[in-house]
Amino acid sequence: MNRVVITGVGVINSIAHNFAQVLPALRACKRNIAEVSLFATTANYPVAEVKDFQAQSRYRTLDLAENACSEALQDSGIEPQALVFSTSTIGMPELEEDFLLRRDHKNLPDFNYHEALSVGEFANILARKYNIRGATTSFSTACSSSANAIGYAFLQVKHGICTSALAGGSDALCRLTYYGFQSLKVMSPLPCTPFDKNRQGMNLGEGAAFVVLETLENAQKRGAKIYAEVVGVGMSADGHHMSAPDPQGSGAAIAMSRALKNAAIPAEKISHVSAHGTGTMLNDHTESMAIEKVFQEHTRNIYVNSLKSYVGHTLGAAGATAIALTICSMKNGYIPPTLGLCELDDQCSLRMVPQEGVDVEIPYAMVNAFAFGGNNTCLVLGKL
Amino acid sequence: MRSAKISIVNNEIIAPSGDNFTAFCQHFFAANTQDSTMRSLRFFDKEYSQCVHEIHNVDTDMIPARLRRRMSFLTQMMICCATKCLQGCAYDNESLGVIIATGWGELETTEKLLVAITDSEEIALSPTQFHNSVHNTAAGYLGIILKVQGPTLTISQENHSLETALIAGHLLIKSGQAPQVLVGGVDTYFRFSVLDPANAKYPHIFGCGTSSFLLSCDCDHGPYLEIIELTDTLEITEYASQLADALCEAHIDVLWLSGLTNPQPILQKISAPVSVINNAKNPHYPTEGGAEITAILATLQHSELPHNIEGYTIHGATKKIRCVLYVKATEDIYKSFMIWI
Repeated sequence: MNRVVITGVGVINSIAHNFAQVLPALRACKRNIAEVSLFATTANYPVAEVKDFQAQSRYRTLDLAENACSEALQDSGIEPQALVFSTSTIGMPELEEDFLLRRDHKNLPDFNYHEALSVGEFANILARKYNIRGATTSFSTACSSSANAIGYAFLQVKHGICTSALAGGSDALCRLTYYGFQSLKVMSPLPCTPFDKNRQGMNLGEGAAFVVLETLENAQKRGAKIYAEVVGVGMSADGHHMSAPDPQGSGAAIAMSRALKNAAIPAEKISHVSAHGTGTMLNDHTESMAIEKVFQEHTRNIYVNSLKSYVGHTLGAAGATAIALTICSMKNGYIPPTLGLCELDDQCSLRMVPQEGVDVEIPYAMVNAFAFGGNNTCLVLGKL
Repeated sequence: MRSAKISIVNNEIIAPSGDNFTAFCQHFFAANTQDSTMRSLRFFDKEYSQCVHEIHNVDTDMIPARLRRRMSFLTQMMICCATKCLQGCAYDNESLGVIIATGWGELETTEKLLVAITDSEEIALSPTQFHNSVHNTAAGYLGIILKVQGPTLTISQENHSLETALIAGHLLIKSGQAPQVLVGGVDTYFRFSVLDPANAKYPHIFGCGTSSFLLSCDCDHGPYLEIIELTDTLEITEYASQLADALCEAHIDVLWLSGLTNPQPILQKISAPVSVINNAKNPHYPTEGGAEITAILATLQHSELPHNIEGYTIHGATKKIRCVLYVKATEDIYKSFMIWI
């Protein structure tokens, strides 16, 4: 079995258009969470849009993905053998525009569905653009999609299916998710404050994040810079409810335990958990219970944060975004705080990163991603 | 490179040609061609008259009523097929993995939400419809009904979705993520799939159906599945050479080709398979992958091929078929499996 390292990172989100902009943005506690500008709405739920980004095609999700993929590939300097893509909303912004157009112009012909792209078509477009000739695999598991994509790519490289892979996810903001999460009554009218006693919910975001994974052997042979090692992945299902987490956090705890087992390290080695931390009452509470269940006494030693307080919930890109930002933390020895966290919820007994952030070495970190359908995925990253 | 073998412990199917594996096999070996029926499909405010292969008799009794009334037909079909596949099989729900393959997922539910957005002054979507619009809806409900705690993934890779899910299932088992994985494939009719079946991108009417395969590393009997791990995107001659190298001394009874308009390079490189089956029409709907794998399992179970299969050309005939090489192609993307007993 191969050891697997990350040698290229590409990101685009509301606070950074590339990986180099991430650290200054985190240090500056930057967050661009404001009212929606991509479409007209009378609802008052702020979002984390990618500003100053001109989509090159009709497909914003694809354009965001290409932006992050190009950066990750250029950063790594290799042509990966495999692609693992993910998204949760297909080409929804384009479909929405068409529906609106036809509502106003009833005499127009039916929507030209030849131009509608499925998840797999997005992936094949990317594979052709970047000359990736090995297996292309696309996951769509809602908010854990890109964590699954990177976890699967890790398994592919570890078990010798390929020696390198480009993996990540992308999602553009659209009406469907905006009004959909509104219907679930989980949107915050203010910038989100995960784990805070007075949190009011989540903010939607958009963006893309991709990483290049390759064998440690390859990376060392070619003298590549190594950001982090992927040491384990754990996946589980709640088997409880389509949109609500297991009230005891059991499924999430199983995924975390499996990730540790897969990484073959004791829980005590983990010094930082990048939580899924959406800012909803249920998620933060049950995730807190799950962390305590897994780490027990060691919970008090782990710095926990939620990066969604910076970039919003980027759905299909959320897991990969958290991984990219955690890699930044590990590389620079700086863990950013959860923005807006004033008073920790009594029911969340975690050691949250203090508001000034913390400068500390991170030998091992865990990244959590949970989703509709009770889908849980956790990855363990190690510093080389 | 050939992967380690894993067992296909059980399989099930709901298709226009049979609502279970037994019925599917009877239809397959009777060489019946199922006539398509003219049916009126209603999508929102319009009626579309199309020739479709209909599915009858989906038994949904095993789905609790409170969940069933929330589910789309697509999810109901998938759950019925998957639960039937697991019936009588020993599995541990705490470790069972689930991978559902779908080309378009819950697009119909998504469209309903879009209509609600565009038609409402005060937008108030149904929360149930919203969480049912994600691609992993079927996998999620299956997890809830079976109390599954293993990895539960959803793959969408156009008409290679089912094949990609089988490969992923193989990797989950190989990597120790799950000792058993239920792989399912499902798709149904959508508005865009019936509007213009003659268009260049989707030249066929999309299909409707579902199939399930329980994979395991703990079972010591066949049929076995081996993935031929090659570069997927290649020129056909190069792919054929790599395929021949990977097979080495393997004895293949049937070469089962799907979507190859020019199979000659493969036929020249693969040494003397007794029978060649070719479905040159590229099956453009994802469920067809499941039907083809099911048909291969039926062939292995009967040890022989039917004399005629609708839409296929068959060259050669043999008794005692024990090993089938399946090659799926779409444009320049290929996937190959060996399925044998």
